[in-house]
Amino acid sequence: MNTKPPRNFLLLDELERSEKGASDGSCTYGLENPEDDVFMINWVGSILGPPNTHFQNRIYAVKLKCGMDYPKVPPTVVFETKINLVNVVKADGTVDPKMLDVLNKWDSTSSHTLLSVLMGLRNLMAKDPHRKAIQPEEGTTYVVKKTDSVQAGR
Amino acid sequence: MSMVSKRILKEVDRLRQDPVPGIVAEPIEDNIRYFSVRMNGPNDSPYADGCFTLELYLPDEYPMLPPKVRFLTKMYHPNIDKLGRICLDILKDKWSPALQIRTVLLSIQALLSAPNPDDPLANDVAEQWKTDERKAIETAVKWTALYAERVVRNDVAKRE
Repeated sequence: MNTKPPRNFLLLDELERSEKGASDGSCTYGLENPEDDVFMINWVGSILGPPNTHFQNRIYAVKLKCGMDYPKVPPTVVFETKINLVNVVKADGTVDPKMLDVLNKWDSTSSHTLLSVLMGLRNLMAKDPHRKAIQPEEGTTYVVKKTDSVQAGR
Repeated sequence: MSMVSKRILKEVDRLRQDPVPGIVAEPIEDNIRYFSVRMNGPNDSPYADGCFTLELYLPDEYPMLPPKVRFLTKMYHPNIDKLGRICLDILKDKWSPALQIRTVLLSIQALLSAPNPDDPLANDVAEQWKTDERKAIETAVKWTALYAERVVRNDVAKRE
């Protein structure tokens, strides 16, 4: 018999961890629209570029989507900030799940979380061949910035 | 079967045979620890005309740790936030293993009758409650009509 925590309570736990500041600050995340998303589908995250790379000191905004079959199905991940991660991030900012270990080997029974997705991306940035890859101009985005997306940086 | 599962099954049995008036809790699908709850608003409250949906999960450590429970229906209440999370002492530091699903649900229902704006979870709502209680209650009534199911009162009467 199944006794695993159900989707909504897993996501509530994730939210609580993010509200308490679970990570070292290099990756943060929260609900995109906490006022009106009782099923916690749309999330925003940010990744601080790792040191000694061309990503250093830049902040990358990411959108994550947890469908109703989360965590059986991993979240979809899209970069808002333009980034050059060859073979990983497609031309429209979408992350190819096959190219990111945590998504490719997603295991809903393990401790894979939204934070581990963001950390996985950050780890890739710190590795060859991405580390020293030429990057788009800082602050450019894939989609037209809406005024309310400023809040994502909170 | 472990002692804990036995306790849960016993609680579920009792909820079924001796239901709390105005509250229905049923296990969801195949998960013995996960419940869908429907709760009528208390008669003497702005929520009286509504039937509200909640979800409840008993963590592995239950009953050493309290159940996790939240509203799925949008609520206008100073101790319930936008995600339906509930600020209630017995769900936190005042939890005791002697409490049960039944007592938790009764306490939540009681919280609907007795909002406590001095210990708020939804700050804007609490503020409204303190500065203009009449208007706050009006909004709670409005939200109940908007988001909750209408209560079928004679259904409750029939069962008693």
